[in-house]
Amino acid sequence: MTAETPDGGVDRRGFLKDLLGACGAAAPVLWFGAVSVPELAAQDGSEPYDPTEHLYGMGIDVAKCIGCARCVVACKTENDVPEEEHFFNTWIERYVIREDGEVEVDSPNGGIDGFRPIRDDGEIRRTFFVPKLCNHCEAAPCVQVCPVGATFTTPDGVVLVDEEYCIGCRYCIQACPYGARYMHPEKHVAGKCTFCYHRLVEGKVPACVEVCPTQARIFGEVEKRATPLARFMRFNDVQVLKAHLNTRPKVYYANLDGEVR
Amino acid sequence: MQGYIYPNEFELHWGLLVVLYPYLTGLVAGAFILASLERVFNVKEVQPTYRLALLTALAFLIVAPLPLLAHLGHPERSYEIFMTPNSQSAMAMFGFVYAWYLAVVLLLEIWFDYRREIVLWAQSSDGWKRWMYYILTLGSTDLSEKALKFDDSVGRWITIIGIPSAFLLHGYVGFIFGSVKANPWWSSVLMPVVFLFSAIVSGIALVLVLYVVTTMFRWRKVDMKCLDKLAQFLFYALVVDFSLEALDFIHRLYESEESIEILRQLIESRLFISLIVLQVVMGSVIPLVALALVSPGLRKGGILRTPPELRQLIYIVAAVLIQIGIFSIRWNVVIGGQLFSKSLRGLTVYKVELLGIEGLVMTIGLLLLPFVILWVLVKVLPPWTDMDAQSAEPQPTSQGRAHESYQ
Amino acid sequence: MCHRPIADRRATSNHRTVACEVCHGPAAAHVAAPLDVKPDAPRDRGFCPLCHSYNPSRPTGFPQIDTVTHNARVPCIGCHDPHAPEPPIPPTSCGACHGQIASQKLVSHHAGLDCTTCHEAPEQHRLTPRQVRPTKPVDRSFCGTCHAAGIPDVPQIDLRDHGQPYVCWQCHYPHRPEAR
Repeated sequence: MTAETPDGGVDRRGFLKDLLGACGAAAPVLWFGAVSVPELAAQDGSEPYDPTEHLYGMGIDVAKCIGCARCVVACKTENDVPEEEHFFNTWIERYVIREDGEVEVDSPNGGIDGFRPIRDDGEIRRTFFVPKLCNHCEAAPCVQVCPVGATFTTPDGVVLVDEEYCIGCRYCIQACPYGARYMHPEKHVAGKCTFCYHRLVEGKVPACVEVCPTQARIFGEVEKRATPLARFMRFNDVQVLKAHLNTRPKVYYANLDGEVR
Repeated sequence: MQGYIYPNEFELHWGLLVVLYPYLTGLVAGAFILASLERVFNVKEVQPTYRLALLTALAFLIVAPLPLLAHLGHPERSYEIFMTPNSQSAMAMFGFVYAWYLAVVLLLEIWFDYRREIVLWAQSSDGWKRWMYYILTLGSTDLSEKALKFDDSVGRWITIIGIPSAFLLHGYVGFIFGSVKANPWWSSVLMPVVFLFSAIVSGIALVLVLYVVTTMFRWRKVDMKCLDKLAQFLFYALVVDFSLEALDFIHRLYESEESIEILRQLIESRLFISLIVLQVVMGSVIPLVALALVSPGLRKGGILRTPPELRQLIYIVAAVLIQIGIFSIRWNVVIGGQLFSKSLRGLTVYKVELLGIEGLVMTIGLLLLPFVILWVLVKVLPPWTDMDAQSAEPQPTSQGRAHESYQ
Repeated sequence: MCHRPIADRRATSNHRTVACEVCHGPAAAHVAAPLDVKPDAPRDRGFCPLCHSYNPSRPTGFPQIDTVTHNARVPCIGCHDPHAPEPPIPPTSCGACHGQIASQKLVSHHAGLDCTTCHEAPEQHRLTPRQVRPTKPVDRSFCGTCHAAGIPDVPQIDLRDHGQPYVCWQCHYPHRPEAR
């Protein structure tokens, strides 16, 4: 029975207790029904995973995000992200654009704690939620600046950090234009979203994609046809964040407002 | 915190230790370039400071990597920068520039310049000092005319290579910041150049102060011609440095890119004291005006004629203000660049700790350590050119040392 | 394959895109030892509002309720099967889902107008809102049925000249037409 916190949220301890029984960052394996987990490839264990056969990307439909932050919670649980308030692999931002053009942005504890009521909500022009995460750029500035090569791009397009090699200089954190990286307070190495690589090699989707209740996050492969991402890219006008920096992100946003940074 | 910052930006990543590092390497580059003025460009007046400048550069260069090592998450793995460097990373390549500069330029130059004296000191000392000097000769005890001429010409060549190396040493630090396109406060073509010229300014100012202080401690008379020449070069360097910074400022204001609004808030609120007051007014304008008036930079003998004691005092005050100003530049660049969010919508704060590895106490300790090392170096390899017959150290003679001159 | 009936019921319901673990938490341990480790099952009113409490930043039409007044004190699962959450009684007022629009209209000159005055909403829209949509007026003459028909106490305009060539709602927000 999950305990209720005073503001009506779910007690995170309950979530975590379930995970303690699992080994390390074991992926929640789905056994229920054909509808649920999209399988990226037939990973029945018969062939070893070949990273050169894939190139992953993510699509986010801003118009579908309801700001429930289930993705943020799932990511923190799945990837052992520190629970303190300012370490996130992914987070939700709320934008409130008023009639006079003024823009307010907030992200209380990444969205996990819910969002405060908007003051004066009669004067709102538009308001929406934007999920953010590492964009796994094709020309990642973080990879470029790492002095020892501890952060690298895999053949399947995922930017990872080798925690045994990172010297903790924090240059990659400075170089990331999207604020996607942080310094792990205990391991003293750089941390970030890994697209749940441990799940990808088993043919599953990242935890945030799996738990999104409105399918605001679409995961797939950038260069293939038979992938949900291909349909997403074809049917939506997509943008990337900070395109002028030419980092060539692989997270594509549909219905992205011009005010989003 | 005001406005909006990305959740991960709550923590400021490069703190006091990383502010200290470009300050220290800047002093190295500046002191060396001052030394090269005498050696390569034959500016005879500053000869009394030649060896002092080299030893100062060495003392600061030894300390420079310490704040970096202390700041790393895993300093025990830091050797990997040399073993498996990422050739695309400015930080990795800088490790080699530093090593090159330390070994090939600075150590070799000092050794070739001092070799004759080291041999003489080895011959005239007793006990452990004799052994120390003997080891320092590295076995090369030939004092013939040919050998000394060789020393001199090699030293000259090393200095010639050393000047662009010194430019590279500190320009590279500027490049490490200037090449980060994610940060609009750092990303600038001018960053390496501004860093370099501010380094030259701080180096000359430091050697000026050290020269006066050490001369006073040794109860000798300060060579005013030397001091005036130092002040003259300091003035020229400061003019260039200030012009470059003003250019950067005007350029940003004129182009008025998207980041201008948050940067304006940054300067008006978080950086007002460190930038407007310390860097610009106290660190640049006041020394500029003072040096313009009393140094021989604009007019021989100075625009305002002043008695030497007063002029000396003005030089020292100006040099100290400049040090504060240059340290403020490093602070404004490193800390300033992290005080605003990359979302361009908010500002945050940096809380300096007192104790702890990034604390004030550690920083002050690391600032004092080079002076301790310099004291040791000065004891082992005295750089003074005005020693009298009473001291045990032999006086350098003019034999084979065409570049020296005496008061 | 274990919980088949629940999975089948969910697969055709409004929660078909909601993964089991969204509500039941990470369940790898349960899969490894089904009898020893049981997942959580939120049964109180605190959990469902994480998604379904009214929030103006949520997309229009996403089912949202006022957590204080909506069937106060009754647990959500008392009326809604979480695996097939279609409401037992389809919402009677449009404002049940379209909260922001309703709140705007309530303080406007159009407060006395039903939504159905301008929009035709088939019954099916309450059950599958995204598949079957209400109609919207398409031309100026629609607004003219009140505003160019000489009705007393209703602001009148000359339909041929006023604001040509635009349609009325390009300037006048129909749910709060007096807003500036």
